[in-house]
Amino acid sequence: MDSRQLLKQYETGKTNFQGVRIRGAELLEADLIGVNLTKAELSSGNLMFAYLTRVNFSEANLTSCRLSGANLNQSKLIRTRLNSADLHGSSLQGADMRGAQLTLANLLDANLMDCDLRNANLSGANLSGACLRGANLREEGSNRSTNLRGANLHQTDLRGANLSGADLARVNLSQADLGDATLRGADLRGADLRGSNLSGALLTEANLSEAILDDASLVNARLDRANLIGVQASNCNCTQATLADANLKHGRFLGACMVDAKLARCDASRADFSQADLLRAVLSEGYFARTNLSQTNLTDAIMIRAEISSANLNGAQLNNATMPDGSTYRR
Amino acid sequence: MTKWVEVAFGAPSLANPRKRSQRPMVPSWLLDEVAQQLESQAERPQIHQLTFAANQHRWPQDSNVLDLYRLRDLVQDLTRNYSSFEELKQSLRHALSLAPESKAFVPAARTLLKVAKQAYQGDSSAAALPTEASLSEFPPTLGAEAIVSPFETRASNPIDNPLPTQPYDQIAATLEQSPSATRIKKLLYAVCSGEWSNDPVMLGRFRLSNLLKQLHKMSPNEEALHKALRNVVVTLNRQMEYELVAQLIQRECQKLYAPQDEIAKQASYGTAQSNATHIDPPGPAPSNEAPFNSTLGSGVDPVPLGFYDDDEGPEPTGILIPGTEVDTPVSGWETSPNSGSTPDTGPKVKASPSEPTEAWATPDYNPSYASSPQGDVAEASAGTVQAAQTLDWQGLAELRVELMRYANPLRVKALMFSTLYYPFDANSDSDWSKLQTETLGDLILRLMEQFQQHSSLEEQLQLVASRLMPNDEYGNAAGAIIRALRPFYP
Repeated sequence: MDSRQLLKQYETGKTNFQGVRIRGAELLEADLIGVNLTKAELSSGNLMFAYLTRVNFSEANLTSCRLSGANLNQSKLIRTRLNSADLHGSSLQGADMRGAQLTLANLLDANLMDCDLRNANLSGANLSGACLRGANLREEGSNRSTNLRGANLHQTDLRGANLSGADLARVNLSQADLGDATLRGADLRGADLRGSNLSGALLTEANLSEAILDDASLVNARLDRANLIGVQASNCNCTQATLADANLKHGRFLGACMVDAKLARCDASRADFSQADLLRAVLSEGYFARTNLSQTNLTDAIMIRAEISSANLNGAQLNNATMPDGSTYRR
Repeated sequence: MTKWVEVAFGAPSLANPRKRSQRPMVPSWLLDEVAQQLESQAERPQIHQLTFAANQHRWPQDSNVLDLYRLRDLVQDLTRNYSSFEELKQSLRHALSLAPESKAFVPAARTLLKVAKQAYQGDSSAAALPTEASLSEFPPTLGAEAIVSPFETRASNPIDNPLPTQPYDQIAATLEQSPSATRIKKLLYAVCSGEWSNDPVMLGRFRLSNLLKQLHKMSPNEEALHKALRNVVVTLNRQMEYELVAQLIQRECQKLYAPQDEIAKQASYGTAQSNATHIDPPGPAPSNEAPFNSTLGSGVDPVPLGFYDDDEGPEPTGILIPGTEVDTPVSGWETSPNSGSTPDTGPKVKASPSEPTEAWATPDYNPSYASSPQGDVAEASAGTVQAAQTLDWQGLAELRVELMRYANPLRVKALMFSTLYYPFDANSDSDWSKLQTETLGDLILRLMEQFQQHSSLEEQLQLVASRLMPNDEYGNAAGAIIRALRPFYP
């Protein structure tokens, strides 16, 4: 069968093309809404701007296909091979892409809202400018998580996405929108999160060691028990963020805004908070061994039972702060 | 199956409403007459190519594409885009520089000027110049190499100056020790000049300390410095590498913004005179100095859509290669004062090339706007930015979502591209590459920068959409953009 025959048969009402083999199919702007192309062989085909809503491509081979501008909303792409496919500006809203192979795929400015991407392999994919709002990328089962290693997620919209346990180690997430996203237990080691929005994000038990969070917004973010060892977070905004029991060892929070932040029981030994604003922050029972708190604003901060004996408090403002012994600091 | 076609984008797509408002429209009969005379010339094919290049700031590579543009429409665009005869001459001079063999097109340029002069009858520059005198500026021996852009002229006069530059010298000395010294210089040069250069000879003409001085002058505070560097870094194909370079520069330049007492301490080994230069960014350059800002202030420098560092060879990102890529979508890399086409209305303050503009001096100055496609710094800071400024980060994200939800993201991008630059050609690999260099978010911001009024944006989008195939798809995309952007305009 060739492309023309397929289109002709579709026009006559046939919708089941399971297992069809058309390598290099020429289906530019084709209308194939709702067809069954399960296990089809369509690699290197041209399906640009094609209308493919509700098409079932499960286990099909679409490797190196040109799918830019294609409409694949609500399509089934379960375990579909889309390696190196060009999906620039395509629409995949609500598509089921569980276990899809998208290695090195180009998803620039693609609409992936509400997509199910659990267990998908997106390593090396370009997701710059893509919108993954409400997408599901959470870990499913043990050792089975969405693979985003080496992916480009610069300026990607991941607002509200579920990335629990996702492997995002060393991924470029600069200026990405992760507002209200769920990143519980996600691996974000060494990730570039500069200028990203993590407001309201759930990062409980996430691993952010050595991550770069400079200029990021973490307003109201939940980072309880998160690993932030050696994190770089200069000028980040952690207003009202919760960092209880978090490990902040060797972290750099220079000039950070941590107004009303909750740092109870955190380990911030050898961390650098110089010039940070910790107004009304809760540091109770925190461990601040050799922590640099110089030039910080600790006005109205609560430090009950915090270990600050070896911290550097030069130039810190401590007005009305509750000191480790329970007393209130007065000038 | 619907095919994408490149249709003749006549006057409206290339016209400049601002300039239209400054100058009365050329009557239709006069345009007909001028076009007719040009049609009858022996050099008609060359004239056709020149008018295309003068309007689009690129040389027509494909005669099939050129055939889609009627000569009369192109002449009309010329009269709309270039409000004075002098500007028209400048644009032709630039068009010649784009020609593969500029010498061969000089007679055509002369004829074109001679005939087109009729459309500028009310213009004093046209009236003052006798025909032959005006044409003498295109001597028959003229070649592309003879057409030197203002920037190149400036570059041939290094900006080294006798003023004390001690703090800059110190920082320069430190930066020169870095293994990334070349990249540091390239980045500083791009920030200061608004253009990228990989040419070691060109870069060699500029002292690092003077570039630092210029950068300090441009950036009244550390935040502005950060933005100035960031705005260039995000356009590069090697962002990670240059981000580190930017951080290094920022770190070293911190001392320029340190409190006065610290500066005094640091400069205790220097002279009292040099201390003064540590604290305040240098003021307007003396007349014997040819600093970058004089050119940037004039608004003639273009906007880099994407810089390309060819150190390590090209990457398949399709980012423009300034200087080598003639067929650029940005009306920008050229240095003709009239290269910018700003399809919008509003106040316009033309800055003098010799003095810094007010915008340049204000703390809110944002270099990204100075180098916007409009190429008018004063205008950018005063008015054009406003629409884009109403759009915060969150707003931009919501806009993208709305557009993606109600239209095909790629059609939206192609329509925006066609509205901003030139008709997107789906059969051109080069156009695809260019479309990939800008995200939807980038294009939204550019569109809002370029169109200050919603009505003019709406008019232009609908017009462009009606000329792209399939009409219904692009009409839908236009509608989605118009609806989504409306709340961000006053």
